[in-house]
Formats: sequence, C-alpha cells, structure tokens
Amino acid sequence: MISRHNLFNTLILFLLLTYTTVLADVKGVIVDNESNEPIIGANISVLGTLIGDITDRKGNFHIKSSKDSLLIEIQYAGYEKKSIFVSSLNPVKIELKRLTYHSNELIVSANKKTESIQNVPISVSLIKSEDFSTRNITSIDYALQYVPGVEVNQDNVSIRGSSGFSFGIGTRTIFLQDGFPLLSADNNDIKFDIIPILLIDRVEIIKGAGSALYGTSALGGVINVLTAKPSFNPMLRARLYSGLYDSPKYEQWNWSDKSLIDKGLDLAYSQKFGDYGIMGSASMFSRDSYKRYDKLERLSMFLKQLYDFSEKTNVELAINYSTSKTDDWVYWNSLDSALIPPTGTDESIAITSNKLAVSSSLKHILNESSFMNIRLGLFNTYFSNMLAIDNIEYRESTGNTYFFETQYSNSLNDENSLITGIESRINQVSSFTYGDNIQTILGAYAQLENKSISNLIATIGIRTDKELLDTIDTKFQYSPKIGLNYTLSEDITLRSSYGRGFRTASLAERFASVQFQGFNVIANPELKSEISQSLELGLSYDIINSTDYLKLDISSFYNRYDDLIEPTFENNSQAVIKFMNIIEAEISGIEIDMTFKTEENFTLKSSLTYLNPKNIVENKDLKYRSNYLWYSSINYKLLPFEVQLDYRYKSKYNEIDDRLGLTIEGRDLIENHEIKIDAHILDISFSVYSDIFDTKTKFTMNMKNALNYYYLEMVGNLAPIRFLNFQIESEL
Amino acid sequence: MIKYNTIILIIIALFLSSCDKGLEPPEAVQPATLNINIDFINDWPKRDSIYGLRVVAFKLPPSDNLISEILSGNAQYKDLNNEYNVNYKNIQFTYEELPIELKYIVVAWQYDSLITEQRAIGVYNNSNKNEPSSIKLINSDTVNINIEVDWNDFPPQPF
Repeated sequence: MISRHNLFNTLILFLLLTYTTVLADVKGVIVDNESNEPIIGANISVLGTLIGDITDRKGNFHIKSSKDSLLIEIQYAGYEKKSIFVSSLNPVKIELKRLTYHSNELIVSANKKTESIQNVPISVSLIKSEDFSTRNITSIDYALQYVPGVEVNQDNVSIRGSSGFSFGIGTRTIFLQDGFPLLSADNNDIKFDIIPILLIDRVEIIKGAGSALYGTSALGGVINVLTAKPSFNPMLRARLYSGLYDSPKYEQWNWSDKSLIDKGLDLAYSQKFGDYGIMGSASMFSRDSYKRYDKLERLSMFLKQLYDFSEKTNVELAINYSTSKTDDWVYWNSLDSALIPPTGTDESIAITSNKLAVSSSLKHILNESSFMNIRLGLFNTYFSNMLAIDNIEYRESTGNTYFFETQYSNSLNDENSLITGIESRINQVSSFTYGDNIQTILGAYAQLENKSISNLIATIGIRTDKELLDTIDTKFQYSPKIGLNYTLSEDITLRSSYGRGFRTASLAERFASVQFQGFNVIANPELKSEISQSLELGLSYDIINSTDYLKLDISSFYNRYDDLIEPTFENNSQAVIKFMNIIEAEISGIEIDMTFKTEENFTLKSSLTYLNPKNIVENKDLKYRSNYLWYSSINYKLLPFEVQLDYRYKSKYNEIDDRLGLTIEGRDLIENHEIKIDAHILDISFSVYSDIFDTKTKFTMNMKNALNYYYLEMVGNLAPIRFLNFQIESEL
Repeated sequence: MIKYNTIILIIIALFLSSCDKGLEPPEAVQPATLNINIDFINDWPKRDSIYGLRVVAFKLPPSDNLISEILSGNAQYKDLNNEYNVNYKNIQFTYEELPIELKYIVVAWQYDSLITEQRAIGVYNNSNKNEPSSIKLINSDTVNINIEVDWNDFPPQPF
C-alpha cells in the first residue's frame, strides 16, 4: 500500500521534474503581414516533437519546451507556411504572408498520417468546424448531408450509393473519432450523438473501400472526426439555439395546436496548463419534432485530457458519454396523415439509450524517422424500450466493443515511408434481442509510400483480418490497396486508386429475434462478410488568378459489391425479415466538385454526383439509391454580416421494396409505401458577428427547408418541414 | 475575372425553377350532393294506398328485390313525405365515398302495408323513360336531377 508520505514525495518529484524540464517558455503572436490583423486558429508545431499550439482569437500562442531554442512551423490555410527559430527571450511577433490565391492546402489523415489533401490518391471531403456553426448543425449526420456524394437516410450513411436502408443496422461506412471506431457492438450502427460538436476540428470523409487501413466496416468509406487540441490560451465557448417548425401546409397533416420547438445548449472549454491539457463539453438537446411520437431528450458530455510526458511522448484520454430518451417512430400512418404513427401504435413506449466511450492513446517519437501510436478503447452501448420482459415487442441490448491498435510509422529514407500496425476489435453483446455473443476481429496492416519518381507518389498496402465467431467458420480477409498520385503541373494533379473493403456481419444481423411495429425479424447466424472493390480515377485542377480561385475536382469511380447483406422478406404473406447475403452489385459514376472563391469573401461550391447503382442479380437498380445528387452552396461575408444558401437535390429512388406494402390484418404494412419523389432542399442562414462583452459572438438565423418542400427521407417518412432557428454562439 | 454575379443568378434561377410543392396528401373528401326534384303528373291513386314514397339510388342495376339490394349496400334510400296530392317534392342524397356512379335512381311507391310491396313509379333518365340513365358524382360535386312520376304510366319494373 502506498503511504500518504510516499504519495506526497512522488507528487513533489513529479512537479519538480515537470518544472525543471521547461527551459523555453515561448509566447508570441501571429499576424497578417499587410493588415497586421491577428490570425486566429493558426497551427504552430515544434518540429521533431509532438508539442505545439493553436493561436487564440487575438492571434496569441504559447509553447513550453525543454530546449532553449525551438524551430517552429506555422501553418494556416490561405497563408504561406513559415518555419522560424524562436526562444523565450522576448515575445515574438510572426508575420504570415497571404498567398496570392486562396490556398486549398488542407491537411487530412486519410492514410493514417497527416498530409496535404492533394497528395492523397483517393477522394476525400472535409467538413470544417465553422460549417457546424453557420448551418446550426446539432449532430454530425446532418452535416454529412452537405458532403458531395454522401446521402444520409435516417441513420444510414451512404457514400456514393454504398448503403440503402436497413434501419441503421450494419453501417457500410466506418465511423471514427480521432481514429477510434465508434460503432456499437450489437447493431454496428453509428452513434452520432456522442460526438462533441463544439470541439470538432474537422471531419474527414474518405470515399471508396478503405479496409486496407481501417479493416471491417470500411466497405463504402471512412468518416473520421478529429477533435480540436487545447491551447495555453483558454477557450470557453457556448451555443444556445432554439427553433420552431412551420405549420404543415395541409390541414390533414396538422396534428398539433402547439408550437413545435427544437432547442439546445452546448458548452465547451479547453486549456493547456504546462504539460497538461484538458477539453470538456456538455450538450443538451430537446426535440418536439414535426412528427407526433418522435420526441427526443438528450444529454451528451465529453472530456479529454492530454499529458506531454516529454516533447516526444504524449498520452491522451477521452471519455464520451451520451444518454437519451426518444420516441419509437418508425413510419407514418399514411400519406393522408403523414406526421402521425400508424393507428394503434402504443405511443407510451420510449427508447432509453446510453453510450459511453473511453479511449486512450500513447504517441511516441522513437527517433528522427520513426513514430509509434498505441490506441486502446472501450465503447459501451445500451438500449431498451422499457417494456415488460414478457411483452412480445420487448427490446433490450448491451454491447461492449474493446479496441486495441498499435501503429508504427517509419520514414525509411527520403523516398520511402512505411506504416504498419496490428489491431483487435472484440464485440461482446449481452442482449435479450440479439442473444449473448462475442465476435473478435483481428487485423494486421502495412502500407508503403514511395516518392522515387519525380512528381509521383505511389502507395501500396495490404491488410489481413480474421473474424472469430462460434457460429461460422470465417475466412481470412485480404484487403489490398494501390494508389498513385501524379502532379502533372502546378495546376493539375491526377490520382488513381484501387482498394478492397469488407464488412463482417453485425451480431444484430446474425442473431436478431425481434418484433416491432408489424415487422418480425428472425436470426441468420450463417451470414458471411460483405466484400467491395473500388476503382477510382480523379483529376484536380486549380485555376488561379490574382483575385479568384477555382478548384475543380473530377472523379470517375467503379465499385463492385459481393454478398451484400440486405433485410429480406422471407415470404410474401408475412412481414418476416431475415438478413441475407443476396445482392451482387455494381455502382459506377462520376463526381464533379467545384469550389470558387474570390478576394471579396464570396464562395460558391457545387458538386454533382451521378450514380448508376445496379443489382446485377436481378438486373435492375439497387433499392433506395438516387441516380443524381446535386449539392450547392453560396457564402458571402461582408463583415460583420454573413449569408449562406445551401441547396440539395436528390433524385427519387428508382427501386424500393414492394413488400413494404404487404397487407397484414387488413391494412398495408406501410401505407403509401410506393411513393417516390425527388428532393429539393434549400437552407438559408444569416449571421451577424459581434464583439460584445469582449467575446466573439455570432448571431445566426437559420431556415432549414426554406421552400417548405415536402419530400421523403425514407419510405413512409416525410422529411423535416420548414424550420426556423435562432442561435447565439459566443467564445471567450 | 470570372463573372460570379452571373453564376449567382444562374444558381438562384435553378433553385427557383427546380422547386415545386412536393408531396401532398390525397385531397380531403368533400361530400357530393345529389339533389333530386320529383314532379308528379296525372291523378294520384287513392290516399289510403300511399303507404310510402321513397327514392332509391342503386350503384349497380338492381337484380334482386329492393330490400335485399338495400341490405347488401348496393342501394341507398330516402323517404319522401307522404303529403297527398303534392306534385313537387325534393330530396338530397349525400355521398362521402367518392367518386361514385349511380346506375339506377328510382322513385318507389309502397302500395300495401307490407314493405315488400313496392312499385317503381319514376326513373331518372335523360330522354327515354324505358332506359334509365346513370350519374357520376365526384369530390364536392352537387348535381341536380329531375325525375318525373306519371301516375298513369309507370316505367318498366326492375324485379
């Protein structure tokens, strides 16, 4: 047992060590070289170490180091990158030169290392933190709807048509927070509400099969949420918002005399003290919803602690927690009464759901050329509809995912670099609905990057995975990837890639035995893994002149899917659903993504994705896929004002499951299930920036679905009607 | 320099041109009304033989006795007032399950105390009283028709 005296001595020794290791205490400010205005959010890193800082809203930064002189590198989009020696003698003022054009020097970690987006051989889209504020994003899934080639159908994320509709079960897109997978052990679904919106630095969306690095579930792509880092300058941010739904245009849909309000509050704080950094956030959200029996109450919390053991070793510990109570809306009564649930639905039933993620990472620079990262995590999920256990519709499940990964990176020489790693994921489920099961997935990967040919970056990698499960004898999965990135000229970059993806069937798909709202889901323990192969050719073209910047990115892609798992009706007379490997599919298409910026703070973005999703078994279109996705936005800043228009078009599905219209006990399972319609959604935001009370404050009025256009987000589900929201966001 | 004002205008035009109202619920049911004016001509039969006067509207041409047709849902009836020697009478039928086609609309006379003792005395027709006409009612429709009852010349009996 450790005595109090020993504990005290240890603490003193620890503090002394911490104190004595600090020789340099560098403070400074980063400004624009012409206007002398502070640059907010610039990234400062000490070369050869893991330490650094981000400038606060006055442009200040603060770095402590054991060396008396530091070589730091400053990066900020739109400015020239600068490296400079600094010491703690005097506060340093560093001037950055604005580039003559709006640089698109965006940094991504798609290849498990940070690099310029232009050097990545696959399509990557980014959502930046400011997008969450202007669009009043309260959950990541809503933000994803603006990303080129991405559709979100309720909880299903579909990247270039990878997913249809399966009640959110078995996502074909892996969802990560700082590299940790956040998929539930039972349903393998994405838990969007656990992410701390105010502490997001960026979200990366990697399109195409990505199992060569990310393993199971990266069948259609990867979504990686990267949280921000704390700075020595404290950050306190609050966001308060409230909005109300318009009354439906048609009297038949008007089910409430009261104002239907969604409201929420987010708080976030971050600061670094010496070698220790802390970030925390709390969010409360309450939804009346425009639909009856679709209420939601949610509380989410996040805490992340960082400690720099030395300049070459640091550790992070993050805890995400979310608890919610939500109504169990599944589909409408009919088109005539589209905003109420089917007659006879027990509206007293609510789903209680808790999620807890604990993740830690240890980063260590071994020497000048090699680096190691160890990740360890737990993701616990629980849900129940709180019925009596003998009720036929009782649902309950507890799942734990244990995650471990060791990654080793080595810059072998100037031309070659290597990334290798091993990973294990154990899904343990204890569930009334899905039974008691354990699924283990073990993986190992290696990727080599070569730059020996001028202007060419070649990447080759392979990963192997093995699923261990009692009910099925699984094969090894081998997931190779090849990528080429060629800089043809200053303006043009060409890329091509091939990758393979796979997804092991979730325990829910294999062992579900559940009845709800007319559906009866039965088990299929024999399910095999889904397989995908992606091929992409892309071109990125920057047209630059002294005042304007136009970036054009064109991709053509071909994805082949085998053994796709789909919920399938067992027969034509009952709504008995079984998940089965039945589909072989090909999805080919073209994506054109354009960004146009001017010196006058005007930005226009437009992307068009054409998809040809073919079920080659039945020789018809895949179900629940659009052929065309067209997303556009206009943003204009005339400080202190900012206005933004977002328009999204999604063509109607060509194919849906006709058996959703099965007649059971005298009525259709889903009334008017056959309806298909194009979607046109226009969102408008107007913001005013202010510096009241010495805080950076932004007032935003946001109107979602401003045209009040009525469309479907899924069969039997009318999409949100017009919603007017007011938001105040303030940062201290 | 790229003329971005032009781009904005094009985009806004596309926004507006590409939008319509989207989904709408099936039109709310507005009942349709069938307003029937009945003219009686020639001398009425004896007062004590008028046990009842009714208007019966059939969805399908009658094939069985009147009572059976009413019970089966093929026919709907309404009683006329029994005021003797009143040569103009009026009655309305209201329908909510629309559209509906009525293929045989008849004025029936109950000439005995037994309810089964009925006789067709006037039929809705456009020209020839021996050829009954049909009528179609749609949402919120109000249709006026006339039926002539000639106490001396009854139309062909349906049963």
